[in-house]
Amino acid sequence: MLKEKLAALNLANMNAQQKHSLLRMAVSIAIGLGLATLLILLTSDKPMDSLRYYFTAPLQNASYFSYWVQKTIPLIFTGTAVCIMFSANQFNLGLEGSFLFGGLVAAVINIYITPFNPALGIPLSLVAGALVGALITFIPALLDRLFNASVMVTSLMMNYICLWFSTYLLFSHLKDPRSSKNSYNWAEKDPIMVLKFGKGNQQLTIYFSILIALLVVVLAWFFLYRTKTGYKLRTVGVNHNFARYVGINAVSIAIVVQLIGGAIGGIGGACEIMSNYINYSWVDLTGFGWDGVTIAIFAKNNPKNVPLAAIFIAFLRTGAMVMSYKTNIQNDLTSVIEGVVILFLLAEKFLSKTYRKMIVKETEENRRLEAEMQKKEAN
Amino acid sequence: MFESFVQILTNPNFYSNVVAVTPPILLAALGCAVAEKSNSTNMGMEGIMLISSLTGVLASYYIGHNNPWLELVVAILVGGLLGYLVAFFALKLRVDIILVGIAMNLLGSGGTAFFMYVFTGDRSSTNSLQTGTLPQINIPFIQDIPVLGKILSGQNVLTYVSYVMIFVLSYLVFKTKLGVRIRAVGENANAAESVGISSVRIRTIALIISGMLGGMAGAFMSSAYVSYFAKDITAGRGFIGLAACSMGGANPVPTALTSILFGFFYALSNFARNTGISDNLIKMWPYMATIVGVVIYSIKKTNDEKKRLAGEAGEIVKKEHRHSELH
Repeated sequence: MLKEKLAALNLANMNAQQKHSLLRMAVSIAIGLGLATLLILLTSDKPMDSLRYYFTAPLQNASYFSYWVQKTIPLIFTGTAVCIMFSANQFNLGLEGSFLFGGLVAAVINIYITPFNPALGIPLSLVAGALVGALITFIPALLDRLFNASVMVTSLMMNYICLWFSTYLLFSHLKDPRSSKNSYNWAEKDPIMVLKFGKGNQQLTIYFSILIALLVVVLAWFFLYRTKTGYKLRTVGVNHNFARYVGINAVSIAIVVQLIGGAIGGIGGACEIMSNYINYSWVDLTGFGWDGVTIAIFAKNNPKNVPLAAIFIAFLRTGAMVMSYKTNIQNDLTSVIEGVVILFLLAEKFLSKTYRKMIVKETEENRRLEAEMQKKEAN
Repeated sequence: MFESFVQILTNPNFYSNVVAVTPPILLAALGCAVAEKSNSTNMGMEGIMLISSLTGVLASYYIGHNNPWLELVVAILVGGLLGYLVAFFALKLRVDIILVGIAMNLLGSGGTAFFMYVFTGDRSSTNSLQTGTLPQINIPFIQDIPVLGKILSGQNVLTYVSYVMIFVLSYLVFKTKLGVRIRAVGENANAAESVGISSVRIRTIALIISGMLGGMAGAFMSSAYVSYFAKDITAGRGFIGLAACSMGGANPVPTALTSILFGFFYALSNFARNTGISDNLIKMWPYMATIVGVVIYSIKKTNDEKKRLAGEAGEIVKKEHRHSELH
């Protein structure tokens, strides 16, 4: 009897917690979007047009819709990768490098190893991208394991090493002599991982990489929440010392998650290059590695929520892109919104009074119910 | 190839360039160091630099008749304010401080690009708002020394200020009451709290100082390096500062030396054109050097810790030995 009651009370508390977590998410996003609206109203010459583009563009025609999907896919990859690494509390920021090198190696394979043969080139590139991506995040992990060197700093440095090394390769070895900025082509007209239908504004692009991205999400979720290793690594993430005391090998877990994270980032880079380009021309970090952190925060480190978070951010980015193209607003607006939402979303103390009130209300409600039940029993 | 390197390394202009390109990294690194000493990682340094740089330029253009000194002052104040904002979100509202930094960087890169376009109508730089640079200074006597004069004299005034900051920060951290408190809070917040030091207050102050140094670094980009603001003008210098701080163990002098090492490689990539090595490859070197440096620092730290523990253990054994002899 008592046990049941306790369980019921516990459940009630959980509900308050979940409700509050949802409320905080909603309020944070509302603050972000409110700020976006305000900034657009204050700075645009055609505020109503700008707002309409910002909030509805991806649904206006097939071309914008395709762009929305295109922007979603890399966010799903890096978001999932960061979810896995952050779940074990590993602040490896080398995903920028993994993503870049994943793209680079896919380009090299499609140009030199399996030229104009996508049936071989795509699978080979995905595997190679995963390996190279894993290597990039593995180096900081290994240095941490061997020498206790800060993963955060060494992984940040890896990103820039990757950037300049790939730029060097592009300009000194891969570049097509007829061009000033890109490598040889590996396809005639369209990128090899997409199908295009229609023309102009009504052009719809089908991205096969979204299937790979969703498969990665499912596997990552299964790994984190349905396997022993996943349970162990989440335990390491919650309390490193506790995990060690109960005999979990925290060090090997840390290395495994960073390998997996880097591999996912590398696959993401390979998909990005094969879905959107027919030659290699990256001379800058793509930013998708950092975006992964944003997505993981929105998704509360659970791969299950990553697609929704990625769709949301990509929707805003597509809107911002169209808005900046059609009206005079800079599309970097979305980064501002992301930053603001993150700050409020993560603030433990934000809305904490409401949380207390919610719990008090729940508890009172429970007491009232209990009293009623006791009355009934007495009768 | 070897000769061309010798040529660069014997060229006074090269060293003059090292002195000139180091300051933003140095200031960012010192800023990260003072925060790190109080156990706050200021990951948002890059964003702080960008925002304070742009606000400095705008303030100078719109209210200061293009006065670069006003630009500097405004940038430092804005930097301090942003440092306080990091402290507010991390310490008062309890957001993980690294994630606050990442959010700050998002706000910095996106916000500056957005407002730059709002104010100037230009998407890549504020080239239309030329706000001038701070004056260059010739140091009497030193400027007449043959090689040294060419290297040390005739630099921007902010360059000299930034090297002076090494000593200011050393004094602040090691010789003042505030410095002792910052270190106490950084080493053991609970112990500091137990003697009545508010760790939140001290960490907030450290982050404000860190932000002000970031503001100075931002001002350097737009009032000494060039005379305008450009999109992502800092180009990762905030992160490099963070790395230099980590490699220097967050102590001002080693951190400064690491920053100068970075400056050396930066200058080297500027001069690399006629070495036969691609400048893109040379641009990798500072980052590789950081990784090596962080590894060396970590090995040393681990060994020191081991020695300290071994020493303590030895003392205990000795004491017990004496104790048993007495009885």
